[in-house]
Amino acid sequence: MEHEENLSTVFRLLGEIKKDVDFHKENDLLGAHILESLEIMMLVSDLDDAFGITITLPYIKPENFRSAETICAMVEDVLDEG
Amino acid sequence: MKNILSAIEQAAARFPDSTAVSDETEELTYRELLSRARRIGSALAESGLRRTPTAILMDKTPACVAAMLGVLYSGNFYTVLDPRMPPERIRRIFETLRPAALIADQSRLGEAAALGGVETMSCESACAHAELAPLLDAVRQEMTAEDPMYVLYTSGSTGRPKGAVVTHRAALAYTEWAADTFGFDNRTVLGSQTPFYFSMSVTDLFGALRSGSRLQIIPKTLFSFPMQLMDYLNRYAVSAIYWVPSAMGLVAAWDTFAYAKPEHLRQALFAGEVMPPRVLAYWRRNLPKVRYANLFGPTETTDICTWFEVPDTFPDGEALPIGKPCGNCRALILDEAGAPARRGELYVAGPFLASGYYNDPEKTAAAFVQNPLNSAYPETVYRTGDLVERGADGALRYLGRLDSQIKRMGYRIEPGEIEAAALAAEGVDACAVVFDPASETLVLLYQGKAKPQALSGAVRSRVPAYMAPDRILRLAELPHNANGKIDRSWLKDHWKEY
Repeated sequence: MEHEENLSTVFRLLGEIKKDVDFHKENDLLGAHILESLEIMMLVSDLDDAFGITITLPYIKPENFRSAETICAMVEDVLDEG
Repeated sequence: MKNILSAIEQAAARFPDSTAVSDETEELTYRELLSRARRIGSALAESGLRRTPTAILMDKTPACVAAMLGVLYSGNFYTVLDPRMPPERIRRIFETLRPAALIADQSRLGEAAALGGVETMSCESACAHAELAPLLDAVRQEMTAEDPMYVLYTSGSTGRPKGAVVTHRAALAYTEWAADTFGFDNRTVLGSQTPFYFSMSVTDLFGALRSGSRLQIIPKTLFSFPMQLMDYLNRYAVSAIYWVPSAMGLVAAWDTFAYAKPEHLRQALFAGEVMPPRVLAYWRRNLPKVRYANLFGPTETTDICTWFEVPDTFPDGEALPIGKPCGNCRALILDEAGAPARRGELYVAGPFLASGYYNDPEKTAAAFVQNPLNSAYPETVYRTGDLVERGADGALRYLGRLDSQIKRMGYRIEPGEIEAAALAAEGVDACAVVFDPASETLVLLYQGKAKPQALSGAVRSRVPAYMAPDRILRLAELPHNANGKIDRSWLKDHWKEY
């Protein structure tokens, strides 16, 4: 249940950054050039605020930003680290 | 020397087996690069066309560099079209340029065919062509230093892109100055960030290749991932970079140097937009032994016309000057009456000047004018449209654009071009584009029935990503000034109120 809530938050934040993209259907956000450097910075800042975490630079790697699912998994890793 | 190819051939003769250009997937030595370029040149030269435009629709790869040189070997000049540009933008440049031939990646032939009406060949098939040395030699004999080398498109005020024509003479003069000033040599590895349709790439490409340096193409995606970017710079021992400040700003924003540093970097050059003082301070603090220089100039001066080397004593936080003219260029500052002034519009004269705008005598005549301070003999000066001020130390300071042109993320943007794209969409009656430099926000405000989301899609399909508005706001009515024109200056300061 917690994962579903986290994922829903990730979808909401992505939707706020790029309103014209259906993130449920996109599995290659980098390859499709949907997320580029500025969007990633905005998203990370939004994720930090929404989840009360600090996503540090080592997490900013391509495999963590390929889809909403991988972004959510990254957030949960940071949450688990406490 | 009258041809950029001669300069590269000299480097190739000295360092035939050194790497000339590489990315993550391919590496070409000088020998391989020129062999490939001469085969492409042979394939193109057989048509008999000379001094005609050839479009290149290719990704930023070593093969694209070979295609650019191949076009030059054929006695023609090139324009690089980035396949990642919106199709509408490519189509408009294509229509303006009216190329005689088109070279595309094999995988892009479908897109190339859609442009229509031009002889098209794949780069792969051109590379398989035999080298026709006598033909290439004959072509070279016919070429002069005044021949166009490339046409590079900038944003046009009426929505029609403007193509600056740069000759071999101008490119030779500029790259000679750049290579000497920055000491590019066979040990230099230049990490290339900007696209090949951007004027800064001229320094990367020809400054490096005429010096026997290695041009290392950095994948664009790495500029989203600073740790991977540092790994890449270290893996290829990148010793010099020439980036837009926003790329350097990304490294600073993530405090990347707390985790990894570019161990081989000796020079960091930047241009294309104003360098935020905090970004430069971050780099200087973390990499104090690196040489930093602020380069300035429009596409119409090949790449730059003034530069400022940041001294160790330069105070952090202070705005950087754009420095003094370089390479025998001269800077004139004229006030509205056309008289010399300390503060006013920057005019540039000298060897780096483009010869004008391709197929556009009107715009050429308006921007490339007779030196207004001396009518005794013909001398062309370029009106930059930039507002500058000369300091007590003689260095120039950039104050902004005289017109409404915007510089953002290293790109020059004419709001008119975005407005033209918006007005072409359904349900837009009137619109204005403003840029808020404080928040770096490009805002499109409009009147009409269109939904912001639909309008965003329509605009994005017509302009490159860097021109896409960050915010789109629908207004009941756009404000007008006393002259009945949309009041853009008011909107610039008040857009947040909507």
